[in-house]
Amino acid sequence: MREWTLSGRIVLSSLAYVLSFIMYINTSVFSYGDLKTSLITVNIITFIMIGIGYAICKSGLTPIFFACMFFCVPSVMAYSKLGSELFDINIANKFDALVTAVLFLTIIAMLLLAGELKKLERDYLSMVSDGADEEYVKLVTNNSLKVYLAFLVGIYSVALGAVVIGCILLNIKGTFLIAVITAILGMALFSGCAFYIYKKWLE
Amino acid sequence: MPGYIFKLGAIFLGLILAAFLLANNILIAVSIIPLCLMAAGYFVEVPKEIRVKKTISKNRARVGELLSISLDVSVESGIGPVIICDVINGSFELVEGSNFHVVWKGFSPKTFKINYKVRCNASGTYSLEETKWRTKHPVCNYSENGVCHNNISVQIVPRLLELHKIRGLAAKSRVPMPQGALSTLGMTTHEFKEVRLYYPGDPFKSINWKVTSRNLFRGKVYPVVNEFEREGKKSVYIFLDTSPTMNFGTKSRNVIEYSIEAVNAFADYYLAQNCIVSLISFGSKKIVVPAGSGKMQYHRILRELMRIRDNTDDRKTVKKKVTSLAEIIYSNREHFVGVRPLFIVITRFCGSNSEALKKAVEDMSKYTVRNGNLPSIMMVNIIGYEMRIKKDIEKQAANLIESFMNIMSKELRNRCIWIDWNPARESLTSALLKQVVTAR
Repeated sequence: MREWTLSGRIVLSSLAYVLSFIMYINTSVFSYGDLKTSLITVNIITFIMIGIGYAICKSGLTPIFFACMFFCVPSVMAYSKLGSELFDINIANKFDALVTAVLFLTIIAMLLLAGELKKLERDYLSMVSDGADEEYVKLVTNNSLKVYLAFLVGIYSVALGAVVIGCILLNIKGTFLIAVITAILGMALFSGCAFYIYKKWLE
Repeated sequence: MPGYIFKLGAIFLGLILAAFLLANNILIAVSIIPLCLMAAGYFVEVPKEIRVKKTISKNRARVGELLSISLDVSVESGIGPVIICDVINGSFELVEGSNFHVVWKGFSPKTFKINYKVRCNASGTYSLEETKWRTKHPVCNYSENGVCHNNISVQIVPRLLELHKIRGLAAKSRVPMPQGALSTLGMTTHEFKEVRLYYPGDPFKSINWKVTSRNLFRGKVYPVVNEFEREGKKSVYIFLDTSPTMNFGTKSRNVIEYSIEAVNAFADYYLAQNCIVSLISFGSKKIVVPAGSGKMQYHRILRELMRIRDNTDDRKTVKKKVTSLAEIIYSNREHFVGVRPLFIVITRFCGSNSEALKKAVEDMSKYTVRNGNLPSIMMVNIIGYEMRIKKDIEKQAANLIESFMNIMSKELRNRCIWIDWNPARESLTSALLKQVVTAR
């Protein structure tokens, strides 16, 4: 059990790291004189930071998550409409918005799955050490993983759909007022949903 | 759970605020993830409506006996893993199966059975009513806990260590076992002892006609007679040490449990010899069984012995007063005058109680007769050092401490009948027999 969950976690977090790094090097933030030296330098610095994070958190996933987010932020910020106006952010991204969104969502899904694998492994070890039958624990772990994967596929599809709609909507020409009203309505709708679930769940 | 919901809500709010502030549609799409997690957490229920029906093979068993426990568990709604843990006292040892079980609850209701066997290593009354459960959400990182109650308790009575009579041994025992009890020859008193079956020679006036007629309906044709206490019985006072020094050993093998078994054995033996037996404890737990004889007295003593390891009342008191044996002797002195009883002290000799025991033996000597050179005081010292050893080097250390204790108790050994009992090595009969051999 531990063998394949550990391998799975390593593969998923490594892939997430590679994808986020690819996103990072395709932005204007990554300026370099010599590509090879820059790649080595950035990676060494990141690995040192991950090592420090591992020593603090006693977990490799958290620092890798932050490293991935650090690499993803420039490419995601490149498609902020108000970024340049409000915060004077001017980043160029070689990938288009849809590819960036797909990559970003894939990275998040991979990290979520790696986190779930870690949680399942911890639960597995704790249940087996408590005296539960190993066969039953394996069944529970496999079923939990299947349900989580189904959920992840679901939210990945929903988020992807939202991105596609978002990209289509971006091409529609409208006035500033319509944009503001749409933004306020969208925010109210999302926050309302979240608040409703939050209150109901707490009950 | 509220912490988890709050965390998800905060992440969502942070993302959505950032997304709208920066007008970033990628961030809006990402904010759907915590929102979906919240929705899944709310709409997908963790397994609920858990019912547990527990059955036990026996409600009363002896120490060391096996008990079969069976649980019928049903889960009606929800989806996810279910963890069932049947709570058992630390004095029980799991022999077969497991009291901890994990199952996956799918969409349909689930019922399953859990069977396991336990062995109890300590006497007392134990409640087995609690069965704890925990259910986990299949997607979100939170769980729910609960407890199912079944009104089940089990009484574990101490083992009866039978004291065998050794025949054909040409030795004069220093252990004052009453061989020819005067009780059967004494005059009957008005103190009711018990009812028993009629034996030829019993006076007809002693027949209990009410009980006899009641027994006839049950198919028992023999008459039943009333038996009354007789005068001139030999009195035996058993003093049991309940101080913290007795809590030595492991959960399964400890001094207090062996001391309970020793009291049980002595009470059974002396009551069978028609003696009047009384049990008084000293130390942290106060237990007094007034003098009496017959089977009823044995059951009274047994009931009190089972209370010794029940610490539910003690938790309420902040500080317990520890009474010494000398104090107990002094407070009960009026019962000893003229009776000349046999005193049996069951304790664990160590440096902390040596002086108190010396003082108590001095006091007891005033009230009892001399059996040869020694007064009728039997001190049973339970040596428990070997109960905790795991390595050979620890065994050497245990032997060393034992030798040191022998030197420390030398003075006391010359003042009473001293029995060293090492339950890890020998039975109580062997320990008593060793004393006989020493006397030769």
